[in-house]
Amino acid sequence: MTDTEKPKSTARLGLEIAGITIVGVFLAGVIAGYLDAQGTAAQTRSIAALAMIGATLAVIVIRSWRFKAVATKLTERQRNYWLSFAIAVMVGVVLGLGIQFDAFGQTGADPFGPISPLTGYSLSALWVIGMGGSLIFYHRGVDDHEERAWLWAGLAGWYAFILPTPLWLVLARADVVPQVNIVFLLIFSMLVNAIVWLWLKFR
Amino acid sequence: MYTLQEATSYAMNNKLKVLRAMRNWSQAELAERLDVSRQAVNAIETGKYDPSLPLAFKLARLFAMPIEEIFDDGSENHND
Repeated sequence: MTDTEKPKSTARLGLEIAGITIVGVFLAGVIAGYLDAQGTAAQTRSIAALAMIGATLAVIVIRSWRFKAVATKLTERQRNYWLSFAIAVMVGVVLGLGIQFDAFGQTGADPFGPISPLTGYSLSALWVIGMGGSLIFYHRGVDDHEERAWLWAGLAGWYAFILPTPLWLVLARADVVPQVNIVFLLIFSMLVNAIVWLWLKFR
Repeated sequence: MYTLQEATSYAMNNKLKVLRAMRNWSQAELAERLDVSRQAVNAIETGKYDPSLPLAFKLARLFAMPIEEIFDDGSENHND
């Protein structure tokens, strides 16, 4: 494999995966819409949409197999690194689409509404197992420089959580600010983490 | 005691860029030989980060030089 072949193959694989994802999500929407028009139960619509997303992921994995030749040229560290990202992206896509499709299936209109217990259990299990696996591969594949960026970013994210949280709690107890919003704090902490990581990795 | 900015940017002087140029390697080629990312090589060369001891040894072996000939911490007490 030459230097020019690898990016070309990777770019082509990326485009194919993007295409398969778009078609899969479209079909999942069509199936959910059809079942909705037929008056099918909300949970059945959710299961059908999730099954379609699962099938899309299976097609992506099978399609990616053709590019095994590219993967075998990577070092073990690089394979672990990219595998961790692939797992994280898949978990993110399934989680995001699963929540939205299920919520849409439950309410018939609101993709950001409540979700069924089945989807809740399934997606929370996927998060723990999928992200746990992804992180194992990440820490096996991350290089010296990025590991340091990760550690500093983790510390910055932690400070961004522990410094404002007690402050907000105390002020909320004094009734001078609204009640603590844990999701806001989580997103803020993750945002600080991402900014520091990107700065140290790419500056 | 360093600030976050100082602690994450303090780095020793090094001859990596010169040694790489002498061999006509790109940053990507050197990164491949070290099995690290290109950003890692760039960050060492520009003094934005010091490599760990294992990576420093890897560099020393690659260039067949002692570590202290590649990296210089600015101290004059080399023989202490």
